[in-house]
Amino acid sequence: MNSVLTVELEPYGVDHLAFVTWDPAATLRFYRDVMGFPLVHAITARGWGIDAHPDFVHFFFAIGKGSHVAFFYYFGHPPEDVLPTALMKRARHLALHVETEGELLAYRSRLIAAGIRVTHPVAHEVIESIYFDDPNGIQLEVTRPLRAFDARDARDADLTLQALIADIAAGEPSGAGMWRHKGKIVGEKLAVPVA
Amino acid sequence: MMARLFVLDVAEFQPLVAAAATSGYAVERAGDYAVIDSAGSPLLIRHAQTGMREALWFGSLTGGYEGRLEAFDDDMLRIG
Repeated sequence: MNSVLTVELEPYGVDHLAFVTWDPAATLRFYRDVMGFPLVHAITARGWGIDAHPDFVHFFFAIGKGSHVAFFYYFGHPPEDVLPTALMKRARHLALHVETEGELLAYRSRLIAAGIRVTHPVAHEVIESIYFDDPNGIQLEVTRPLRAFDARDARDADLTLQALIADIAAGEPSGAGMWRHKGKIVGEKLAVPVA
Repeated sequence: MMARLFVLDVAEFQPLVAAAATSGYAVERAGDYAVIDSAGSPLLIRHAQTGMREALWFGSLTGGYEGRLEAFDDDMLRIG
């Protein structure tokens, strides 16, 4: 057997998540001064490796537990629209974890004091979050857990993905179709007689 | 006609299960789920009955359903 496949591996979390900025001054001000994330590293380099790669700066802010949010700035490269639609912008977001409601509200107060638009806390199924934008148009979230995930959540998630994949395979996928597939899968699994 | 709603039996969805029980629907626990069965009539639960926050209410079908989904909006969930 391939020994690579027998080694048990578990990542330790996020090392860094990298974005592009066209405005390093605003990015520094926001992440270091408003959010309070220390600037811990900056690489400056001649473009190398790939044809026509621009010279660049790559800088890192620490966001706790060994994780970082990082930015590239490319010299001489015109701004690109990296966030094509409002829906995709909302989808591709970075959520920062806090533990308590007090911490969540403290971040909200800090953002408001800096003149940044931020939502009221939104309570979802298992998390409560605030949403706001960084100066680059990247949507950020600060979130706290309302409860921990348990084994039921993982089992249910597995069935949800089965239902989603089945609904897509059936053609013309929809929320209603996925929930119907889920009901079929759960009903068969539970085998509870209809009343 | 058969209308059943499966609800993952976790804390945040208990208001949905409680509203169904208050409406007189049969609720049975099986495995990880509460099974709400309307015994041949349409299954109707109103958002206002549950007191659920909006983001949570709109996840009410996550456990799946059997029957025909007739309405699922801010006001009600109805399975015929």
